[in-house]
Amino acid sequence: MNRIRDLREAMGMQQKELAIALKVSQPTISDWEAGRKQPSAKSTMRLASFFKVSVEYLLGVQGPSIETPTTHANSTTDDDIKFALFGDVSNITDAQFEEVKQFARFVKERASRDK
Amino acid sequence: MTNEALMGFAETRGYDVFYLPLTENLAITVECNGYHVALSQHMERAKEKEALAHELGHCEYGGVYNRYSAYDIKAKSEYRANKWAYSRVVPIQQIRLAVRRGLITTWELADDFGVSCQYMQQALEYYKSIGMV
Repeated sequence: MNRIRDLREAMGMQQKELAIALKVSQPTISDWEAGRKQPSAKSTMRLASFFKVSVEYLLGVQGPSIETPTTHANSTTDDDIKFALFGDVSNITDAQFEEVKQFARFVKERASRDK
Repeated sequence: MTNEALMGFAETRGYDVFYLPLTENLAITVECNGYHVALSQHMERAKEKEALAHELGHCEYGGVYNRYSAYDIKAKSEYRANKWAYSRVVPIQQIRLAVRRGLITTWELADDFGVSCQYMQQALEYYKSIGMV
């Protein structure tokens, strides 16, 4: 279950912090990450819920990004803009993303003017 | 940290911060040869602090994504950005000191730290989730 470690480290958490959040001991987290023990079905579901990933992903039977840029070969370069927003990102609307694109264009134009 | 201190931090780290007439977002960070932050011109001071700190968290962690990133990738970036922001805007040590000074309600703490009640509540929930409260 190295995905537990990957997810924990991606969130910048220590084993102790994850253990407290899940109400288990730190050695238990260590055992899960090292593959010495497997979390119970209930613990697996709690882990998936905590990390906001699917159980399938946690168990390693599904990749993390079902939709990745590589699956959108015909997309424009705008779709590759790396960005982040303040607030709920569960459903980024077209209008929100249009504003992101406008800002990215603004940044690029400003950089080209400054050259 | 005050709004001005956050702006100073951004300048020190080389992050551009722009106040723009955003209508669809409160704040945006774009990675393009460095990090660039757009803040809505229409935010109140408390919300501006929360948004700027959050975006600086993205800059510091390198936590950006693209439109097609899976939700868990976005959520992780947001978690880390919030984590950084809380540590700067509402550090747990200073919250403890404020409580010792008699500020015990969420709104008292929020007022003291110059953030919204909702933000303070979220920060306290975060600290609770990692066993610090």
